[in-house]
Amino acid sequence: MTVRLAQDGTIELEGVCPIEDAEALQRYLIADPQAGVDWRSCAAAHAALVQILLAARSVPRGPPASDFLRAHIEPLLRSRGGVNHPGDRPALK
Amino acid sequence: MNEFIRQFLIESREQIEQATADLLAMEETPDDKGRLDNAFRAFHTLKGGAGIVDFTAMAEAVHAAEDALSDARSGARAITPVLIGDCLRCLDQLAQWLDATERTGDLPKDAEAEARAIVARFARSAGETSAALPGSRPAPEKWAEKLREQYATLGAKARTAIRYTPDADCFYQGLDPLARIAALPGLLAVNVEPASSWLPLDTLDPFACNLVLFALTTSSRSEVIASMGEAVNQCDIDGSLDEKRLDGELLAPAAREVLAEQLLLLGETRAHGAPGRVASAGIVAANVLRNAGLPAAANRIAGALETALAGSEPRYLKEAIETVLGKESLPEVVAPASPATDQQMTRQTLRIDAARIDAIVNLTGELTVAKNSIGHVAKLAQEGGHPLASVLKDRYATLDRLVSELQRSVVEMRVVPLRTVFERFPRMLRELSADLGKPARLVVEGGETEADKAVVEMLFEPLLHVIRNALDHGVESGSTRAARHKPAIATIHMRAGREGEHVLVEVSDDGGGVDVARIRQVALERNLVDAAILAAMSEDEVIDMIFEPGFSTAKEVTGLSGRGVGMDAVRTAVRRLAGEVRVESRAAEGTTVRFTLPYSVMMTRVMIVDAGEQTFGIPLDAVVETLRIDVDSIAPIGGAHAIVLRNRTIPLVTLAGALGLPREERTTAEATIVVTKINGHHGALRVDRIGERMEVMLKPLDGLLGGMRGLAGSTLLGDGSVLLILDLAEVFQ
Repeated sequence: MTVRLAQDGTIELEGVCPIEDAEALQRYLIADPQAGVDWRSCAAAHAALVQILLAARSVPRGPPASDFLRAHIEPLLRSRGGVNHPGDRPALK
Repeated sequence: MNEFIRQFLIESREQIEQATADLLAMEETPDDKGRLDNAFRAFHTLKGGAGIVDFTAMAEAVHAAEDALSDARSGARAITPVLIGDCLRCLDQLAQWLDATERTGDLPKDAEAEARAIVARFARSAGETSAALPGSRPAPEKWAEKLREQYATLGAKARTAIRYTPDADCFYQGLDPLARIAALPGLLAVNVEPASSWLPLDTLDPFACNLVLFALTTSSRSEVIASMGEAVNQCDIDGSLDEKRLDGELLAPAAREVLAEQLLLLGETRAHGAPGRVASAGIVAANVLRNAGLPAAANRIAGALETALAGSEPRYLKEAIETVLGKESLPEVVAPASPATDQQMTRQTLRIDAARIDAIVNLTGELTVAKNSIGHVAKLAQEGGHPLASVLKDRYATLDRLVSELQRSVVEMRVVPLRTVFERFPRMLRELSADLGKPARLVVEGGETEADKAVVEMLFEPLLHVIRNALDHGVESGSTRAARHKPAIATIHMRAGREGEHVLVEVSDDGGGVDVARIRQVALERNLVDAAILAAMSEDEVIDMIFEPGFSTAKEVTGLSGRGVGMDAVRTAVRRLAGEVRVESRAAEGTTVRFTLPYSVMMTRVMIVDAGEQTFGIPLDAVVETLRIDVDSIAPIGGAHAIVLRNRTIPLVTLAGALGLPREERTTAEATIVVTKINGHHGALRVDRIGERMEVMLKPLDGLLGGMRGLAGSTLLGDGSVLLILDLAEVFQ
C-alpha cells in the first residue's frame, strides 16, 4: 500500500501512488478531515489522488519527491488549501 | 542515379498525380468509396516504393496519410476538408522530395523533420471533428488569455497553451491526465481546476474525473500535439502565444507565397509610386492573413502599415510581414513558391507509347530500303545510258515520304496530353480559393488534347497567372455575386481542343468581367497611351492593354493584383512559342482568356520573301494574301504609309526599311505586298519579291542574335544557307 495511516494519524503517500489509492485517501480524509497528509516520499501521484487533495482542500506536508509535483501541483494545493497539517513546517529543501 | 531510384521517381510521380486527382474528387463527392479506395491504394503504393529505395522519412509520412485514409474507409474518421488538405500537403512534400532526388541523384538526407511535421499534422487533424477549412483557426480563446495573465511572469517563453478536459470516465480507461501533462516537453506552468464545482468529499466519486487541466509550455503546437497522443481529442491548444512561428506554420503555401511576394514588392519601394506599393502590399498581406483565420496577425500588419505610411517608412511593414513568415523560414518560402517550375526543369523523362516507337522502328527499316535503292540508282548512273531523271525523281519521292513520316513520328514522341499540366490546377485553385476566401470550382475539359511537350510545359505559368487573376479580380465578392443572382461558388472553366495545326486553350470565369474603365484610367495614369488614342480605342483594344509591359506594375499600385508578375509575362511566354493570347470580357458575365498555341513547336510553314537583297521567311499562318498593287495607291499618313484594301485601311511597312536594310530603288510601277494578320490586326508588308513556301524546323535565336527585334528564329535551307524567320508582330510595332 502506497497510502497508509501513520501512528500519529498522518496520511502518508509513498512512492508511485496509483489510482487505486484515491479511494483509500478519500476514506482516510473523510474519517478525519483534520488529518494531515505527508507526501514527502511521493514519487508520483495519479490525477485521481490530486483530485481528492484538491476537493479536500488539503495541503500535504512537502516537498514531494517528484519534481513535477513539487514545481506544479504543490503550489496549486497551497493556494487552494485551507486545512493544514497541525504540525506543518516550512518545506525543507 | 541508380535504376531503382529512377524507377521510383517515375512511379511515385504517377501515384502522386493519381492520389491528387482522387483526393480532389473526394472533396466533391465525399461518399464516393471508389475514389477513397483509389487514393488509399495510391498512398499504399507510394509507401511500398519508399520502402524499396529505403526512404524511411517518406515511408513514415505516407504511412500517416495511409492510416488516416484507412480510418476514413472504416468510417472511424470523417472525410473533412482538413483530412483532404493534410493528404494533399503530404503529397506536396513528397513531390518536393522527389524533385530534390531528381536534382541531386540521391534521396534527401534531411527529410525526417518534414516527415515528422506531416505525421503531427495527421495526429492533430485526427482530433478535429469540425470541418473547418485548412489553415483556419479560432482567435485566441479567453481561457488562454486568462492563463497567460495568470502566468504573466513567464512572458514570451510560454509558446503554447493547453486546456485538457479529460472524459469523466477516463480513469476507468487507465488514463492519468496529470501524467500526460507532466510529460509535456518544456512544461512551464500547470493549473488544475474542477470541471464542475467540488462536491463534499464524502459524496465525491474518486474514480470520476472532475478535472480540467491547463498548461503552458515552451514547445510548439505540433510538439504538444505529438506529446498528447490520442488525448489531443480532449484538448484545446492555443498557439497564439507563439504567433510568430505558428502563423508561418499554419499558412498554406500559396498564402506564404503571396506574403513573400509582398516582401519583394516592398524591396523596390524606391521606385515611383512607393506609397501606393506599400499600401497595396500591406492590404494584401492583411487580407491573406485574415482569410487564413489569423485575425491577430492581420491586425498587426494593418497597424504596421499605418506606421509605415505615416512615417514613409516601408521597413515597418516589411518587418511585420517577415515576422509573420518567420525570418528563418523565408528561404524556404521562396523555394517551394515555384515547385511547378522546378518540376518542369527537372522532369526530363518522357513516357512514350510503345506503338509510337514501333512505328519509328518500321520507318527506319523502310529508310534503309530507300537508301539501298539510291545506291542502285548510283550504280545505274555509273553504267550510263539510263533515263536517270525519272528514276531519281521516283526515289526522291519515296525518300521524301519516309523522311516526312519520320519527322512526324519524332514530333509525336514529344507530344503529351495537356492533362499533364491541367491536373495541377484543381489543387492550386483549391488553395487559392481558400486563401482568397472566394469559393470556386474548376471544370477541366479536353485534357486529352495533345501538344508538344515544350508547349504543354510552357503553359503552366501562364495558366497559373490567368487562374489567379480570374479568382482574384474576375470572381466577385460573395455579396456582389448574390446581388447578381450568380451561384455562390464560382466556376472556372479550363478547356482545350485541337484546331488544325493549333491547340486552343481557354480559361473562362463567371465573374464580373474586366473593368474596362479601370484599365483606361490606369493606362492614362501610367502614360501607357495617349489620351486621344485611348479615347478612340475600342473596348477590345483597351482590354488588350493588360498585356502591355508596364501595365502589371500599375496593377499593384491600384491594388488590382497581389502578384508581381503581370499579363505581359503571360503574353511573352506564349509568343515565344509562336502562340497568341487574347482576352474576351463581358461585363458582369465573365472573362475568357484564349490561348492559341502551335501543336508542335518544331515545324513551321514559311513563305520566302526578298527584301533589301536578303532573303527572309515569314510564318505562313500570319499571311492572309499576297498581291501586287500600284505604287501610287500607297498613301502617306503622317510619317507612315497605308493602303486601302477592300475598303479597309491597312498600315504598310516596307520590310527593308523596317529592318534597316538598304532600299532597293527600283522604279517599278507595282509594289509586291504581303497582307498579314497578327493578333487580329491586318498589316501590309512591302517586299521586293515573293518566293516559295516551305516547311522548316524553326530554331529560336540565341547568342548575339537572341535579343534582336523582328526576328523569331532561324532555319537551315537546303543549300546550307541560314534563313532568318521574321517575327511580324515586332516588325509592325
